[in-house]
Amino acid sequence: MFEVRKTDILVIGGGGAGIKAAITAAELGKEVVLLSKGPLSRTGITPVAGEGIEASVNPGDSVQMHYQDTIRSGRGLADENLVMALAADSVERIKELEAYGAKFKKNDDGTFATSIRPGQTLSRNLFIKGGGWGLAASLFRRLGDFPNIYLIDSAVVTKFLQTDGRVIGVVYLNVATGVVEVIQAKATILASGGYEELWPFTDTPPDTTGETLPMVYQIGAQLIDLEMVLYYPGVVVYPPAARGWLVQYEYILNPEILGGRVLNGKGEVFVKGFPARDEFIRAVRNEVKKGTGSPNGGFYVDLSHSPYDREVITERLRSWLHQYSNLKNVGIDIRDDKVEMAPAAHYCLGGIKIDEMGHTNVTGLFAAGEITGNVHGANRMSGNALSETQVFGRRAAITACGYADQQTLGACDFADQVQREYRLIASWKQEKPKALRPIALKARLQQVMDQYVGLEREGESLQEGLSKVRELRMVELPKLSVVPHRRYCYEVQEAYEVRGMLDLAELVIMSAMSRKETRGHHFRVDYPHTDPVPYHTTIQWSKDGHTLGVMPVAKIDNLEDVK
Amino acid sequence: MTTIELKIFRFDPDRDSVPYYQQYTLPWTEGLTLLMAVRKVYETIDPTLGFRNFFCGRGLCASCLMTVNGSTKKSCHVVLEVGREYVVEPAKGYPIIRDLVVDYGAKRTDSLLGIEYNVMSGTMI
Repeated sequence: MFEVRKTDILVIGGGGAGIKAAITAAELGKEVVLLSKGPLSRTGITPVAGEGIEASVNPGDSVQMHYQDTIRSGRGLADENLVMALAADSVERIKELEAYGAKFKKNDDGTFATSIRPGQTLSRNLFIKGGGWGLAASLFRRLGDFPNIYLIDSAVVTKFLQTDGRVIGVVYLNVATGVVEVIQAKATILASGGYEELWPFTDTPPDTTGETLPMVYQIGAQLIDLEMVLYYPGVVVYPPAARGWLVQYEYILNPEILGGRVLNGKGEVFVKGFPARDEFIRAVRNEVKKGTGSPNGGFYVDLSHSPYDREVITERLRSWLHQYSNLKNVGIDIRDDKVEMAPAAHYCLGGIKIDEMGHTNVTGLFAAGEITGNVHGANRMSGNALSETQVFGRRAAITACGYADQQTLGACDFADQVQREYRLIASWKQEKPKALRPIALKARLQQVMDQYVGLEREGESLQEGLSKVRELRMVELPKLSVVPHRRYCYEVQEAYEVRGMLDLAELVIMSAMSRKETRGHHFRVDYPHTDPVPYHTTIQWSKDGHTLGVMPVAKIDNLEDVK
Repeated sequence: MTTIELKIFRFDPDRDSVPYYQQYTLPWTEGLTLLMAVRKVYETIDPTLGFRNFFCGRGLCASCLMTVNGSTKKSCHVVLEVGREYVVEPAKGYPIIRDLVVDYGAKRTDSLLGIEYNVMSGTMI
């Protein structure tokens, strides 16, 4: 026996984009099911985001300037129609967040307090109190207003269901109960976030495994620029209690806020000015290559030479850098202690290709947020990720609702699909002679990705990485073994995750091989040049197998015409 | 002595009639937090231990709430001291799913529409 829950709109992903999509669809009067891997506002990537959200609210700023800055920061690879949607809608979405109860840092006159980030011609980053957590919590509060949203907060999607080429829902495992269930929906919105967990060092939570990407790939979704992984330069590597914590270098280096500096392993200043993320990464990489990096392959943050008094620094740390008190809680004082930081996988620029209304190329499937691939290009401006969740979460939901109006829920038999999942889980629970835990297989994959598909890429080593990933999939994956518990069996979730991670890793490596140039966050040692005309790399599953291609970047002719 | 002792609450309603406690000894390292220690138990000693691995690890999300020596705290902010024993139990005030995993969302039934949905029941502590 299993449950088939029928609904108008299915939303997969409990982060900023998913919750916004669910709220929007509920406002339009639809029945919504929201699937999340974990409890809302305590899971996904949004709660760990910094406090910056970008919108042109300041006097003198404009949608056009937000647009231009984002295009420039994307190193030519951002689709112009999507960036225009982002810039045009974000101001309105901020007002909605305020109505949901999100608190923003304000000036004495009631206007938004902002800070400038690399790439911005004008200070444009609003400050959400409580950071990404504050944003997620306000969305979650708003969600509670809608009795037409049903939330399942321990759901791991295992398969997308299709009829006549249309997506009609998913099979999922409820991890809390160990039961496999089905959601049948008129329209499905995928907002399940990035795949940073393919790499060993990230500042994102461990559930950012991206296993839904190969699932939609298998039903024909076109994936785009998968090789583009944004590294954040400043993530703590030492002391260990704070390993993986992002500390905004944008505040440390900003001469008007903290006036700090960053030092290499020999105590020398190696970064001047206020570099964008891809430029900073390049500088760190150079130090490490020269042998002047810090012991863990990074650099040090130093506030001792700041032009400001200790009291001023303390006050500004309290007011701007929410990590300051978190670090103090584990015994680290960033004012005095040498904190060692290094680049970590922070945001996946690539993903599913969408248009400005959140359509994918698969009928019945819509997408929004970090899982989409052509919004930011080859480098993302700080603050645009949270704006993206709100803008595209809402757009995808409106589109999906319009589509759902044309659909009916047919009678389908899903028993085979459910049985298939139970058989797979049973096979993992069988005792095996050379058992391998999912967590061990994840670690091995991460080592391969770090070694062959890290900050620097090169043709031969990518090829070697691809062979190693395929070997893991063919030789090691069948050894997967999990504990026999039914209730909250996290190892089963991890087994699904690592199966998807292995598939996805192959797609990422093939995409990295096909981009034979250096652009933004993709560094090819063997192709250090940047091609004059930017192009997207695409990968799609067809009857001929993996099909790689390129696609021009979408252009808009007249900025004034587009909204 | 360079170890710590964790006495962890175990309860699987499918298998156990009553909860019990299980003792684990872990090597201590500088800056070891309770969350890291519990992860370490899962990774290296006991894959059957149930805990929530969804976390920010920096005190924001409160998904890692656990009760340590009687008081419920964010386990990522509890720095462990060498040689000590800690009694680790699920966060207070939430239904237990298994071991240290609790249900943060309480189900509410809308009597008018007759459907169940989850609302935020917990608040930050």
